[in-house]
Amino acid sequence: MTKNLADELQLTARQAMATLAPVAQGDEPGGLPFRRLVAAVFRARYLVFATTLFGMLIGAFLALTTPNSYVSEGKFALAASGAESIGVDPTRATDTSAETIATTATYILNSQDLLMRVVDRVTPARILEPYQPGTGADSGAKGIFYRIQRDWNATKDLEATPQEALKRLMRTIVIDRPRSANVLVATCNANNPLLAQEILNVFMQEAVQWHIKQYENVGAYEEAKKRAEETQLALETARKAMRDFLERKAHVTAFDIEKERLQKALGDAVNKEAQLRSDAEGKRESLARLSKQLDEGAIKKELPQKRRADTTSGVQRNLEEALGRALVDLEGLRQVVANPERDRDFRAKEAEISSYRAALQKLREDARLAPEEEFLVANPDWVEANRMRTQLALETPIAVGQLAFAEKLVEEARRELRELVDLEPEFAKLRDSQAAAEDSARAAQVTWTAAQEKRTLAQGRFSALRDIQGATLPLDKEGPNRSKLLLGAFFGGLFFGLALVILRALPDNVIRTRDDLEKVEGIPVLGVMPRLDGGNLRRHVSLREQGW
Amino acid sequence: MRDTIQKHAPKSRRSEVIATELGYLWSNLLQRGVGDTHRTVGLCAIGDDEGSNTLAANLALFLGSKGKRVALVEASLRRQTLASVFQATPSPGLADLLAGKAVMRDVVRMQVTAGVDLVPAGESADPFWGFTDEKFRGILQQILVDRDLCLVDVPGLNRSPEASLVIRSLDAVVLVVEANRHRADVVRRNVDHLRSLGTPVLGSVANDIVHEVPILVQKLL
Repeated sequence: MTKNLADELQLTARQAMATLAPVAQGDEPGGLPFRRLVAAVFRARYLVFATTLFGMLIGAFLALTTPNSYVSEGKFALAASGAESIGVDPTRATDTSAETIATTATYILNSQDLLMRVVDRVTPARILEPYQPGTGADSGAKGIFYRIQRDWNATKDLEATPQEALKRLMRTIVIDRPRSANVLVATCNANNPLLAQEILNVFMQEAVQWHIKQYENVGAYEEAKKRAEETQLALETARKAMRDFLERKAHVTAFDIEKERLQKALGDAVNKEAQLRSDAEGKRESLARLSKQLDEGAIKKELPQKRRADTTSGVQRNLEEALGRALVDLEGLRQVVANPERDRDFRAKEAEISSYRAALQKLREDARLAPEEEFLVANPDWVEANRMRTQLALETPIAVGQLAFAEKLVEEARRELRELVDLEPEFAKLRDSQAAAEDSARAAQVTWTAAQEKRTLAQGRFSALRDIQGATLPLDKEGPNRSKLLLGAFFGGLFFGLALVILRALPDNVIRTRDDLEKVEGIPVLGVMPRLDGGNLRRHVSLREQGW
Repeated sequence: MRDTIQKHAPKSRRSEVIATELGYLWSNLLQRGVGDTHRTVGLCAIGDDEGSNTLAANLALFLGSKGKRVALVEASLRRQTLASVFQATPSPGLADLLAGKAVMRDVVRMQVTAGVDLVPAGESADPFWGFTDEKFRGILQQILVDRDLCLVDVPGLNRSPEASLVIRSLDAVVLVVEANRHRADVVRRNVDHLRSLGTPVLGSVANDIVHEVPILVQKLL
């Protein structure tokens, strides 16, 4: 066996055994072994140190130059109704829902135009006021610190433009809407607590006005007004046409009432005519019948009658009168006489009365016994018939005249009703036009009223935005936390350096250790020679002692 | 490793560490037949100045101190270093021998240190052409007549085209890889190249290893 062949066999055997050996932990393909990572970190320790130092320098710079910030906070509540919730068009309910108003309010309050109004009121110079910590008389480290901050944050007067102020406000004013609450939280950040409060205060005032203005649709208001005027004019025209029609053509005040009245009058006239006609006919017939009966002798004019002859009736009447007077006298005596039985006048009067009674008795007896005689007396039926004929003869012409008059009235009522009915289509058309005009006018009036109410509310500075907490005066600074800033910068630099190391180590496959060399297939590591410096030798010996 | 062990006190930590590592290296080489079937062993590197010449010198010193008769041949004619290491005259050397300008007796510096004979590189106007024939192999055979082992400092594989010619004349070769210098794929490619030459590649030596992680952290890991 040649030496080359023996070497080949050895190589083959080593490769075969290498495949049987489990992969060491941390040496799995595709990852960055922890040992390599740690070694890479220590190898690049100066880089990590440099980035950490750089981070700390930046942190120190920021801590020195960053001005204090103070945050003023104000809160708006979104009321259930406001100027914007009264839509000009009542049918557009979706535009006025509370959710829509709340969502839209955030965007409205974030508009640049609103911030520009704040800039105009507060002035750019005030908004861009430079940070001026300390009293100017501070000494020592604090004095140096304040001087650095003043110098670094000093601004030129030329920079105090509205545009710069607007940019500042866009950064410092924040509108936030917490979830599940109809509240808007406005915050303003400034380097001066009073300035923060002042800016936010103006902002909140302007925000309400601005919010109202966004819903103040001048076009809709004018349109509603114009529409109301037009429909009112159309209604007046329709009413005038109706009035002219009624006055000049129909000649009535109320068409329907007049028609009803005419219909009723015609009915009454027809009824009256029928009654009069019946009455006249009856009278005419009765007159003819009575005349025939009387003229033909159907009713006798006189009738024969038997009766006793009356010869004492005059005397009897005189006696009865005398008897009456005697009885009266007797009664008068009875009142004035104490003992009538013994009074002579009283007794004489009684005797006179008795004589009168006896005479009357006798006369009555004579009349009863007198002989009967036959006389012709007038027939009461004839008399009555004759009276009736006379009366009918008078009344019949009158009834005929009344009938003729009634017929004339009926004809007149029919004519009037016919004339009115002929005008009814035109009246119906005018009535429908007027009803439509009234509907349009009513709807336009509702819209117009809503628009007026909205404008009234807007003029009254009423909005769904209601400030429940005014701009607060910050009692403590919001930032910067210089300790945290330094610490953060330290860790930032550290982690940045570590990240760089990891990024560098990920694709790194340079042979650095014996393990790296052992991974090269087909070549065993026969020896290791360390770099000959003290620390490295100590580590090498330590590794050897650990069984490396 | 850039220094030879003779520069340091024999009892110093550095000497001890170097001797220990050389002992490990020699034991591995013995297992692979060095001194038995492989008597001319080359130490080559991928580039220049990776410490292969120093390692060859140290190994020769180590073996010489242990009673072996070792010849150290500097075949890297473009960079002469071993003569100065052993404080020997640099020429005539191997280049002169290959060019026929000198004889074996003139180029061998006998006993530059205990048990070690040195053949320095010498002065060469054309370092490549001298290795193109079988003369170098014959020189090595002559050197091995009365010595146990011949260590050859091979020029860098990627720097000197004659490296392959030198390796072709050897019994075996060891690749010296300087840590923190080459990517794994570069090493793999050079190993493949070495294997393609037909000379057995016994293995590699990781040179100038730097342990970055402190001892305490190493123990934690």
